[in-house]
Amino acid sequence: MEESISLATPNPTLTSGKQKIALALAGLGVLLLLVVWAAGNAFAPVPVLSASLGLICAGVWLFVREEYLTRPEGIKNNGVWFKSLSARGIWGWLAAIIITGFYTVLYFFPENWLTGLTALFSPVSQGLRGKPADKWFVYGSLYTLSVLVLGVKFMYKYRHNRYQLIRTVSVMFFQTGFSFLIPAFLQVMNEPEYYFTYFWPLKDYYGSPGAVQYYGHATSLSVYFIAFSALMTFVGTPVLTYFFGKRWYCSWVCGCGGLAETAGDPFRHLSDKSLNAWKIERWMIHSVLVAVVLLTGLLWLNSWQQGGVLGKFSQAYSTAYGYVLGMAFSGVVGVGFYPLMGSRVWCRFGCPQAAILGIFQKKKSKFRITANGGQCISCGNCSTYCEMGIDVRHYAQRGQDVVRASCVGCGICAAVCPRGVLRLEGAGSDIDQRTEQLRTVHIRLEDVKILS
Amino acid sequence: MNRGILVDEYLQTNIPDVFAAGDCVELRQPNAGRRAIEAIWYTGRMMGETAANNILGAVSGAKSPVRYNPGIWFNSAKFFDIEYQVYGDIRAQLPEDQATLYWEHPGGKKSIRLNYDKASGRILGFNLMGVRYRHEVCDKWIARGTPVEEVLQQLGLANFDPEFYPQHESELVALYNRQTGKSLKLKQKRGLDAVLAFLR
Ligand SMILES: Cc1cc2nc3c(=O)[nH]c(=O)nc-3n(C[C@H](O)[C@H](O)[C@H](O)COP(=O)(O)OP(=O)(O)OC[C@H]3O[C@@H](n4cnc5c(N)ncnc54)[C@H](O)[C@@H]3O)c2cc1C
Ligand code: SF4
Ligand code: SF4
Repeated sequence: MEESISLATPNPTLTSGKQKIALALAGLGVLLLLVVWAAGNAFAPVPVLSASLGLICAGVWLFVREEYLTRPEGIKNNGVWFKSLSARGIWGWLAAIIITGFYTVLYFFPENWLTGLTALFSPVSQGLRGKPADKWFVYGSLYTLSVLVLGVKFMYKYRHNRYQLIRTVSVMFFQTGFSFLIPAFLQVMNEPEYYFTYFWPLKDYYGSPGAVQYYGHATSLSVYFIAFSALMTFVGTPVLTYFFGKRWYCSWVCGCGGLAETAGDPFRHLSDKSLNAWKIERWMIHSVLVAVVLLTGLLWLNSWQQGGVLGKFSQAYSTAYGYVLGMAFSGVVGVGFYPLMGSRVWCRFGCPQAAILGIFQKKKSKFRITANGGQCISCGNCSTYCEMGIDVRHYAQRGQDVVRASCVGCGICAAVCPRGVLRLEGAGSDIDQRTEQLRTVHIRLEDVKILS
Repeated sequence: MNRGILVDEYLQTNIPDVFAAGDCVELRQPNAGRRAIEAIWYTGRMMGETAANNILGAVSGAKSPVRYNPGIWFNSAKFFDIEYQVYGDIRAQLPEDQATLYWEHPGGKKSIRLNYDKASGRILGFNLMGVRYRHEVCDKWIARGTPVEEVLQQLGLANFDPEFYPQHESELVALYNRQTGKSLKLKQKRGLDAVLAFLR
């Protein structure tokens, strides 16, 4: 075959021999999990689980080292539009179907569909929480494992970029500590399970009268849990967003964001950049916010009236919200559609927390992405790799700072820019005029007549 | 036609209503210190904007044409994975009347060069490898002819590297002090509020 020397080479990027071995190892590990799942029996849980996870970790690690350490550091997105997995090819669709299927079984099928896996993870659960695993423990373990293993992969890939390294350690830390270990330890200490990194409205339950009632009395400590959540909702969120923008949560702390940034990284370019997608996004995310505010309002009204108004209705509404948004949207679609619509489908179209953070970010925050003078060459890398579907280039080529409600501050646009045009930063002195300056446009729009 | 398509300061050719912009252009009267042919991306964009404006203005008769003015020279590129930026007048051979301050990172992938006028100390240009500086800040220093010592003490204003990256401004000041026996101090660290105040 003739090798093309074109920059956008159409030649397939082949995996090396070592990488094939690495893939086989990781594949074997996944296969073990699937066998256990299908058989409904963990056989010998400790050796099987160790073998499976060991193979997956070793395989990914070997693959990644071969992929990134054999090349100089710097952005390496070679071939993402040509590889089946990351370009909505057969492997991409297959991955989407498998993940969607897993989530559907997890959320909507009876527990006994997963007996093999729960048996497999039970020794770990016993060790951490002093009780056997249920399907949520299995899910939490696999989720955390994905964030950790693929977080390490991400760090190899972006090893030249300190912002990316520190941010990734942060999401790995919060996922492992606050979404996995601490909730488990709380149970050992006879405290109710609690997630300190989720607040209302993402965790709509923590803002409901039921939760206040429950955590207010469960143990002597648990009242502080719910008080912490309330503090984060009403004080922490606006204050932190004022200083740092939405990113303090979405790309540094949140578990959904954590998975998107690590496991979702190979799919970030698949986000839709069209104006239409932006319009749909704004309608959807704000509708979800309205829905959750209504939900919480109704529940409180109902509890105040002691079930007098709309007694059954508000309960049914709450259940429906849980099914449609909590499970179908944030889980099944949110993760299952990574290989089809990019890594932030839920964060962009559905998350009510993102909606609130976005409003603060847009209206009252120091944060912006500065475009450096006239340095943009309109290459479009920034827009391509923006997982939130923001057309960053549109702003950069006009020398306009980017202030968008949806920007999660992942910093990838700045990392992939070949001209170092973009910088995530903050200033308090010009919050209301952050976007007004157009540094490279020397001719006013009013002066130019568009001939019709 | 000469080496390029000859155009006037409005980017118009000798044929009425025919304009040219970009690599193909040769300016009849370039600005002082600039060349008649500058085939780079940024001049191409600025010419495109100017030509489009003049075409639309001329056709609709709505406004007077705009002169092509590329401002102070700047460019950027990427050599393999090392970013390069230049602002102002940096010649391959240092002219007699210029002095230079050159700093290089021990890792060998970053360097900063500041050129200035020997007699007056006015800053003339910046050359950067693997380090990002703010375009507008450098532009303003050069346009004002700011003394190099003031630039050095304010150098934090120019820093445009990502967050958490090491800052090398104080190393430059120290280098200058070593070479000249002065004892300048870095007064301004990185920070957007200070930049906005400076540019206002
Ligand atoms: C390898 C390389 C690296 C560079 N690096 C940098 C850099 O780092 N920084 C920088 O500022 N600049 C750089 N440049 C310069 C920069 O790329 C050019 O100045 C810029 O792209 C010129 O834009 P243009 O629109 O004037 O011309 P072009 O981009 O060349 O566009 C001319 C167009 O006209 C078309 N065309 C030609 N003949 C005909 C015809 N008969 N009919 C119809 N169409 C025709 C061509 O197909 C082409 O699309 C680099 C250039 C090269 C080659
Ligand atoms: S604009 Fe940049 S920082 Fe914001 S979400 Fe997109 S890629 Fe991330
Ligand atoms: S990646 Fe950089 S140079 Fe390319 S369009 Fe975006 S801001 Fe401009």
